[in-house]
Amino acid sequence: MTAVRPKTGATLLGLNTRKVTVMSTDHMIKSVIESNILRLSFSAPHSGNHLTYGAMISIRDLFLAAEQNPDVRAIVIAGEGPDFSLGQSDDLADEEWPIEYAKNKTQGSHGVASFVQQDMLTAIRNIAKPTVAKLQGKVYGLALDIACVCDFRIADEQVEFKDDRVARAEIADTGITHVLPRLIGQSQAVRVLLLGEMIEGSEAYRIGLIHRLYSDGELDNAVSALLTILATMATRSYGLVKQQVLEELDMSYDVALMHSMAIRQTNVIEDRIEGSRAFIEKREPDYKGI
Amino acid sequence: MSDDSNLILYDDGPIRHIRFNRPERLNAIDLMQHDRVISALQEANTNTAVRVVVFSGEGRAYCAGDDLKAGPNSESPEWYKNRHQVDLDIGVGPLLLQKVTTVIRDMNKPTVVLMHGYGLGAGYDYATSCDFRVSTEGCIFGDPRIKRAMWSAEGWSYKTPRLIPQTHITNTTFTGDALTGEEAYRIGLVHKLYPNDRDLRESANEFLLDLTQLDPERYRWTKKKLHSDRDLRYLDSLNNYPR
Repeated sequence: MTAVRPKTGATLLGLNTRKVTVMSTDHMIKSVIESNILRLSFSAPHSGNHLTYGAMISIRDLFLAAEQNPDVRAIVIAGEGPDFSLGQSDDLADEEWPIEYAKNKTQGSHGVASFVQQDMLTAIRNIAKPTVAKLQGKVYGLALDIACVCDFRIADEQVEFKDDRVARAEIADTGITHVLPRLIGQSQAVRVLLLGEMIEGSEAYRIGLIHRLYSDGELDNAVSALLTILATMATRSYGLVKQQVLEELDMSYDVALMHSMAIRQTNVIEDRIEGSRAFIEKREPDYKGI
Repeated sequence: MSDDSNLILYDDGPIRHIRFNRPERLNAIDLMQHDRVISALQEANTNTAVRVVVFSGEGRAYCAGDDLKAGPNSESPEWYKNRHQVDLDIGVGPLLLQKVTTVIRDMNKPTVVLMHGYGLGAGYDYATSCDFRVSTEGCIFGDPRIKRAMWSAEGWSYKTPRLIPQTHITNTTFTGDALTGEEAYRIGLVHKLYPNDRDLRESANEFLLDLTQLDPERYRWTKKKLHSDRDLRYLDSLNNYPR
């Protein structure tokens, strides 16, 4: 079961309006919890929000902590400045390896970069809570990976996606070769992953890479509205639905049915009582996320 | 053909119609209705005169979902109770819905659903188990169960990401927001789209007749191979000859 929630007035009324700044271990990652929403942002716009090892580890740890924190009921990742992020730092090869990886992970000729990236992306993908990527400007390389493991990708019209790792004679060993063909179909995925084609806003919407597209100035409000909906949903139901979809991607039909039934029986969601009651009383439910 | 008025079965030439007939409940499905559908499908599957099986609903809607008044202790088929002695606190509903959607999926002939008005909950599960989905433009289509803090275990989570790109799954199923027929058509979940003001059996007649022309044995085999190859490695799929 989840941790015991403090019975303050705010929590009993639903949304927790307390604003809590969560410690990030890296100066370019900002994080704050407000109204049950963890807002995580890249704050190095002068350098294109390039992601360093420190930033990746910080994101990983914030997601792992958010999974355990009942105050967090939705998460948004955004980039400050004109661009979401240009991806991993060009200087990564020169950066010192993070101590935990340098000690514990196998070191192939490619170093530890893929492990740091994979651990961050796995933490984002697997969290049993709603995740939103708020996208504008350039979303390149590793930033595209991050967007693709979020549940929702919401963008403004100026957005441009590109994965030029092959064009630069690099490889993408981040799991995107598993994720992207399932998100948009293999036909479209090869344009992105093999050709390194630039995909702009309306085209990204057409091929299903993003869920919604907004014209200039509307993005902030649209994302806030979506986050409010997500943060007031029955969080544990959401988590189970997400778990079902992601895990059953790798299962056969028969096994998937068993899997669905198994997680159905082993979980008791308290919000279900409120859900049925609200339905009978013909009103909006007031879920606690437990 | 059927003496039970809740489910109308009739043939239009080689087309077998299975029509929900509880219009006063917007064709919400209870446990006994699942059982009637299973029997109807088992008969249709072995009847060589039947070349295509079509689901639809009488009245204002194809199907508005599960019958919520039918709780865990409501009437359920005798054979099912005897087979499942385990007393699940969730009742036999989910297992029975898994059973019926699997029977639909495993049908050896073309299956089509004609949706107008509403196609929600159990109606959505039926629809996503058919080979082809036909809808009116305005049909409200989806799975709102998560809005009531419920979730469903009937195999949609396996099926829908394989029917359409996964991106669209989060937009619909994670939030429980329903789609219109038009939106469902745009994302590829619906194959044929027709105007609201005409009976879908007429609108889709040509399409249904085309399906009756397909070679039954080749259709059965290809469908079975498509389903099983989906989860096989490429080299294994080359050696996969379904019976």
